[in-house]
Amino acid sequence: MDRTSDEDVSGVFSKGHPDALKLVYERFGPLVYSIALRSLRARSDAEDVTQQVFVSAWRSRDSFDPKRGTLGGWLVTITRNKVADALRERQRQSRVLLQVAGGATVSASAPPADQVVDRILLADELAQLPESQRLVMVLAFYSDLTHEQIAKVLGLPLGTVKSHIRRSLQRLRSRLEADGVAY
Amino acid sequence: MSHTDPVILALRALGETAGTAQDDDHTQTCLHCGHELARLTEVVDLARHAGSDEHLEQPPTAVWDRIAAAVGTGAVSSGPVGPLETVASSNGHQRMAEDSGERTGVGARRSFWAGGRRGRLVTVLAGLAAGLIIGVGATVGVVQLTTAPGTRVVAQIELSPLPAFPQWQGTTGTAVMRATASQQVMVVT
Repeated sequence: MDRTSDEDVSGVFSKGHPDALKLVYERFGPLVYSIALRSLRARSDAEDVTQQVFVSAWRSRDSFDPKRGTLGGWLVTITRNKVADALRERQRQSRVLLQVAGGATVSASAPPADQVVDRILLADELAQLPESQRLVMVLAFYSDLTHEQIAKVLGLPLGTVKSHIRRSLQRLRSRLEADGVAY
Repeated sequence: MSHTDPVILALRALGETAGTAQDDDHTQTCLHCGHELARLTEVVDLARHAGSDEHLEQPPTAVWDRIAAAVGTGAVSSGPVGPLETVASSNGHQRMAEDSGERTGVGARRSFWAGGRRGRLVTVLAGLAAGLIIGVGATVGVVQLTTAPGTRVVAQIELSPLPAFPQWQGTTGTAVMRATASQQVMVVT
């Protein structure tokens, strides 16, 4: 799915089309779930947060303004809030029980790390790249190969590899600038 | 002089030696190109720091079913509010339903409870078991619950009667707080 499709998804969502939530969930469900899972480290909690995010997004879809930001960025914001709520709730429960047990103190839970969100956003955008571009970027990031070696390994013209690297890096950067937290 | 070729900036961000000594001079003195290189390098660092094993996970299919049930027309009906209300008082779905001005009735609860992991709710006790009064200001609900997978024990404490209840001396019990991200139940036995 490319950038245009993301905009299409965003468009049907803000118009409140009946099938829109399913589309939005298919596109962004893994992103939301992965951020929640990485932040909360418990599958059942991450599932609950994912459910809350999409139900909440649907019910407050009128407040989403595509002119002010992307749908992905809006969902990431809701996810971070729900994750923070879940962490606060965990802390509250521990405090209540420990008070009953004799007043021991509870250390604060860490909020979802901004870098966690940005790393998962990056993985999400990498996954959206066309296959050959994604392969080039995976090799460029995670192997010791130079762009000339990548061209040989993949049997692609050097100019194509250079172009893929430039465009893909810019695209990843744009996504982080639009939806990222720490970037 | 013109700005550095964006391809050279991208390759340099990846750590390759690309371009000429003239490009070196330019990126070090040109605010625009220096900024571009720094931002692209941050992207590369973030990607490499995450590692190639950073991947997205698909939520289980049941999550969508729960979302569809929560927002679907069949999920909300106007019926009498029953005793399960107390259990769900801190429940996220319920709270959102209230926020949006909808009344959550019996039908909604039934579909929600039946569809979720928390479908194992058996009995709601009318009051605290065996007269054990504990000073928990934020007790969410007192329920008898079968051991439900997907919940975790937050804390557990052995209970004994307060001195003000001599008739209960010798009675003991256990309070277990079980939780998911959106709901908490205290089980008193």
